[in-house]
Amino acid sequence: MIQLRNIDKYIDKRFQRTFILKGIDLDIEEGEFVTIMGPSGAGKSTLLNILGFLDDASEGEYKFLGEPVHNLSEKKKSDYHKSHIGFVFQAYHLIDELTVYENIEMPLLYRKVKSKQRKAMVADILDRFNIVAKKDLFPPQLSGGQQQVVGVARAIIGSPKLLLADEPTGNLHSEQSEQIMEMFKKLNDEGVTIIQVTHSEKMAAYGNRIINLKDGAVVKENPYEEE
Amino acid sequence: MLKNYLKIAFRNISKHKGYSFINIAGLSIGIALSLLIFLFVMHEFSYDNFHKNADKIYAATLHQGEQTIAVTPSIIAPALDQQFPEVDKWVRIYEPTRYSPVVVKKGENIFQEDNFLYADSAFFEMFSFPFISGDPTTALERPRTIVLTESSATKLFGDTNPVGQILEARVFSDVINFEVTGVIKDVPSNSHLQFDYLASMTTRSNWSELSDTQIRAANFFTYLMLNDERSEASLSNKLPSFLSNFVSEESDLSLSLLPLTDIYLSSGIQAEMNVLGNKNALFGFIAIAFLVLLIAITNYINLATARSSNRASEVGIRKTLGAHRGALIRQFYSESVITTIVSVGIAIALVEIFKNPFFDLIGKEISISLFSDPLVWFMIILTTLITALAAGGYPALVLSSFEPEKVLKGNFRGSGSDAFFRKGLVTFQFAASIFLIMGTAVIYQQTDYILNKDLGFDKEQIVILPTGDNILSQKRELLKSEVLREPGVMSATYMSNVPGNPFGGYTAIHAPLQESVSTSAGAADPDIVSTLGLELLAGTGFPNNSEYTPEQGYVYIINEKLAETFNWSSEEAIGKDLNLQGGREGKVVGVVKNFNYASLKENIEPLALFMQPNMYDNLLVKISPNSIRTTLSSLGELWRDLAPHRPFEFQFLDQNLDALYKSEQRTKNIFLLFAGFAIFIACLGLIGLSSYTIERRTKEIGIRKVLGASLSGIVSLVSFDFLKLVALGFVIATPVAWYTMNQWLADFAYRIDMGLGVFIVAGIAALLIALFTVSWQSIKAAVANPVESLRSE
Repeated sequence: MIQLRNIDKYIDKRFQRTFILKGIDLDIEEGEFVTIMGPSGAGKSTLLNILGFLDDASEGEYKFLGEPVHNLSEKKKSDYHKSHIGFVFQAYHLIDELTVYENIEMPLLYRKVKSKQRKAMVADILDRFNIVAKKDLFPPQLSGGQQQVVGVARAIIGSPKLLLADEPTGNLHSEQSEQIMEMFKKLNDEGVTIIQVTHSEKMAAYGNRIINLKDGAVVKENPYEEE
Repeated sequence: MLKNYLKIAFRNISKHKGYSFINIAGLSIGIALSLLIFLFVMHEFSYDNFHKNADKIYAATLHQGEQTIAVTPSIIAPALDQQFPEVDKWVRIYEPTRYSPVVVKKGENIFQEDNFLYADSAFFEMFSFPFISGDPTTALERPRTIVLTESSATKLFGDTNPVGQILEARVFSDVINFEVTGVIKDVPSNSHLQFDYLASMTTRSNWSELSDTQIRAANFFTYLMLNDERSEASLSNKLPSFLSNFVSEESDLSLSLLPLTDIYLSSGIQAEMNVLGNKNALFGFIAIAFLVLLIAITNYINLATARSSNRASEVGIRKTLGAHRGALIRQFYSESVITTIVSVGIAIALVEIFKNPFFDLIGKEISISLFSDPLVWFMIILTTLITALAAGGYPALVLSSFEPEKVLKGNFRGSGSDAFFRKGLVTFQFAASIFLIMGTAVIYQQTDYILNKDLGFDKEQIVILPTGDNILSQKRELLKSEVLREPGVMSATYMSNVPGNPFGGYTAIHAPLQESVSTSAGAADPDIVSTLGLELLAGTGFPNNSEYTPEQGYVYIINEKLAETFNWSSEEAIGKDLNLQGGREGKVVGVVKNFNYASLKENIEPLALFMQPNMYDNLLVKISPNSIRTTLSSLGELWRDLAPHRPFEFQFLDQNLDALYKSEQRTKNIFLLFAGFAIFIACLGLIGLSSYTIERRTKEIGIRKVLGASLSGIVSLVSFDFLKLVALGFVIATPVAWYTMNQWLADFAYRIDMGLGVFIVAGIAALLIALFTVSWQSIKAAVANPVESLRSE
């Protein structure tokens, strides 16, 4: 599904080039649940952004479903955002002016799903995530965990093939975190490819592969499997 | 999707009530002012369009040298009709009230009327004034017939049908019993012909001027209806040779055709019946209305971009969910569209409420309904679109360009170019506001100057009584002596024309010289010098001799300017022969210092005054300042004794003169109104912007306070940034205002010197207003407890 070859990401500042990522080679197959770990500033989020087309690599080759990403037009990228990729953020990033229902519905609007079908799909998700009672509340009225549940619901309502999660549990306490991770596990079982960034080994354990980043480079692939 | 846009737009508008209030208040005021100006301008441009034959009707105008004159000799219309097949119909109009009001009597009721015209019989076939009763084609055919407007008919005849009834009118010295042959709807306000009574021209058939066979005095408005659109060009070509049949070769007279619908906005025509409009002023008003609207639009742009960081994460999220840039642009546009529509709604309500006060303010009687005219609808829709696009455009482009990867990190701050743009806009707003304030100040000074300038004669406490009829001419001496016996009356003089109204145009001839001189002239009695306080430079003035008649030879008091034109010194002029066209041979007996008997827009032109009692149509009475009221009431009693056939209606000379500057008063009021709202809207924007800046700098202010910054230090820290922009606006506005106001002042022969003072005062005023606005916010921030702001992090 994803092939990264010799990906570099750097920032040029007056006579000095700062590398954020350097020489990343990575293959991720469909159906994997990958966790990217590493200390602060290791380049985890940057890598995730590149994977999700939110940022471009400075050098190197990135193929998504066999198609070279650097050739994609803006239009094509947002088409992929609509249909193939879902995002979950540490800060939830719900739109405060919209209700839970409307937040979840939004991706469908951009996909121009018909009103009737939209209602059915949102109702289904609300039901599945057990938040029917909260559908008319606004995000600030919810707890962090509940907001993240909505965030996940919004990310997957378009049945993406790939779910990218940047520290999805970073702002949550453990019970809420486990709930979200259980959710991810279940989605993965249903065939969704998941890539998450986390600091927590406990959360990483839900996945089946770990990529360790340090100073912008992959240091050791999946140390747990060898045990 | 649209529903989603609208939903979030509404929620954003209602969530940020303060900002929405600033936007909507500014836009609705800006739009309301623009609509009001548009209604006014539309009215001004619609003059005489309502006539069915509007595109075929022309007024013949006379040109002499630089002057264009609205009146022509009586022979022009019938002669043109006789000689040229292009002329379909012709009408001459004669306005007796130019010289003296007409007194209309019905039963016991007497009215003094100023809108009384005579017209040839084709009048109602040419012009479309709808009849309520009577027959338009025959109404003016017979002598002593008259057509009334609905209101004058009601005033005289109540609810009864006046057609066939008789009313008595006293025109000059004639008492005429007119038969009412028709009633028309009131003349619309956008007609350059204004009348309450229209009498048939044949009534005056014994008047020699009507059957002139050559060019004599120009007393008639001539209207021609031509056959088709081609007729105008072919007739115009023939006019020079036509006129050469009547005038000598060296004459500088010429004739031309002016389309009916162009008359009202052809400013600069002399001797027109009513005050004409001024096209340039209209364009100026549109420009300043647009300027105020632009200031309001700028508020929207400024506040939307300033707060863009608040919306940034929303943009980021939407993009990760697959929103195209186009979709986001549409979304942000929908917010400006909603804001604009709400503002337009409020603006329409404001216009409905304030249109009459506004029209009062600009001195116009306009009855216009906002919704009856499709053009108004078109303008409203156009304004909505332009405002929504202009206000929403830049914010939509900026906001939709945010990249999710950057904005979703949190702590996003807008780009520097954005802030630069915003500063530019604030500078523009204050430049525009300061320009309007400066303009207002200059216009105020100038109108104040022309209203209070020493005119070279006394205009205060002088009452004008119309006396131009046969009964009062019998009692001329008696009336004046009785008036003078009133203790409060200081002096009185008869005059044919009153300063402020046009004097007759004559040709003055001094026999030994070949060339003739154009001059204004009128009749007056010997007391004019004392009553108006004229300064006699040479000679004795008119003989104070009740036995004097013009048959003994005319006597002239001329002004310095006329003496100069003949190359005479004041002393030399005395005793010189002078003849005014029309056989008034006589001698100069006095030279008076120049005085401004006409508008101060014009230089003083030559003037000759002569004694001719049968032209004494007005009695000017100077009243002692301490007893105006009692003197007026005793004059009223005297009037009822001596002139029971006329109502006691009078005018003050100073008011008559002030009326010359109606359009200047209008310009002043419009500028005042617009400058006031411009600075108000600009300050609303400043409140929004400064409170936002302060909100973002709360932490900085908190830290500075903890480190010991003083209150004034913090206030100036925040205020200075904005005041720099206001100061820059001042620098930009000053030359523009200087140039524009110089142009405006160029219209006046007498004008103020624009000192730098006005500009500096206007600039300082704007600066103080801005300072007050900003410091109100910054003081609030400065006195806040720093612990509060620092804890919130």
